[in-house]
Amino acid sequence: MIRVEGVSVRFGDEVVLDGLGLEFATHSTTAMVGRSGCGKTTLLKVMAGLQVPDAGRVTVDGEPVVGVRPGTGLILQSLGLFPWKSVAENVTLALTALGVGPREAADRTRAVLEDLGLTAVAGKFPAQLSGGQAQRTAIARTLVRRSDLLLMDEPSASLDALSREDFQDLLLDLQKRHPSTLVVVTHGIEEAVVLGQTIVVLTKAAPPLRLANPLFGQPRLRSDPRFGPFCQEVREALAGGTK
Amino acid sequence: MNELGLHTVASFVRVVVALAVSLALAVPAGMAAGARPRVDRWLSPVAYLLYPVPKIALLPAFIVLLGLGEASKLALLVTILIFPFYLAARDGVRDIPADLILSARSLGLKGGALARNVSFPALLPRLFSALRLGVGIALSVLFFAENFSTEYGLGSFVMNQWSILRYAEMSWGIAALSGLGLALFAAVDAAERWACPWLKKG
Repeated sequence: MIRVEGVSVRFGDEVVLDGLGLEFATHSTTAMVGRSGCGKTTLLKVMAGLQVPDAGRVTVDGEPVVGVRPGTGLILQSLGLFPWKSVAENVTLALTALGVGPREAADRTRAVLEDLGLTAVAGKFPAQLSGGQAQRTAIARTLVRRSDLLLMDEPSASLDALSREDFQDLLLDLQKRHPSTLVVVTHGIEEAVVLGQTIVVLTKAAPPLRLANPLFGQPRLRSDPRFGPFCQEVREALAGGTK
Repeated sequence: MNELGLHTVASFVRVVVALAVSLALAVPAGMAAGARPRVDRWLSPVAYLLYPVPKIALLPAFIVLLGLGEASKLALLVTILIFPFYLAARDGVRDIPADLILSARSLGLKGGALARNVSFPALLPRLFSALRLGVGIALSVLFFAENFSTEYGLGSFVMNQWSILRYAEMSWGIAALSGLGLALFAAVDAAERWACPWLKKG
């Protein structure tokens, strides 16, 4: 269980998060939506141990998050792949940074690249990859560490519509095969409905609103007749919270 | 080896040693200034103050302080080269996108590992550009410096041949200087291709 307990973050006079409280069940999938500037990215940074809150704390299974946790993976909108490292080197670095030996790191990297269909591009640099391949490389970097908490900040923002759907399907498939607690920040309401078991609507004006997603995990979700109305429900929740 | 070869080798060694010493001093200082604003606040004003001073004017002072030997020539070259290298390293680190640093920190990279895996590779393209400028400047200044009490060096060779009216030999000396530049630029290009494979076009 991940608990966000009364987290406040201020940048100068600006209050970005004000006593925020949230819970994420272990191995659950949560999509977080909200207007720009409502503190979604800051919350992810706090959860990742990269931003010290002015008040409150985050706990993972009861342990307070102080600094970077080896078990937390963070994927940013820009993906954060190192341009000077090949796909394999980007993934291996995630292990050697933890002190994993080079042989084990190479073996685990090879297995993850194969799992994600990246073996053929293992020697390529990020600039030589398609958007989807770059996304999968960023995921490989967290998967190889066997992260139990995966935080994503608008990870599909740069993809075209079909690649975005492929990416969502891949995430759901990985979540089945390698369960972790997944928190995805997104601007896409449809994406939130596809990915989120729970949808959290974050606003500055009111406490976060949690919507249980009755469609989560349904086959052919996007063509389900309830998909459109539920997206509308999320849209209204989002609009209502920002009035 | 013929006489011209000896002079060419002497100049080559001086330039390479000066480039190596300058890089060894400037890159760590630039990386520290790029990563830490407090270090930048101390080092950069010193660089801005000294960079515009025509260093050739310092040669007499270096000769008085360090003698007529290699040390004064090396000191002159290093004082010229160190500032552009420092600024290239500092700006290379300073311009690393914030997201990339955040991503590195989320992996647990810090200190030496962060410098090795992120800061140093990030500054390399700028450093190679500065190195190309440095090679040109170093050869020009070396020509001047080698005119003072120098046994071997293309600067003294060309000027000596000129003074005794041996124009053919003087021309070969100039050609050797040009060839030295070509070899050094080619070496910098090759080093960049090896060190920055992600910049390959196509």
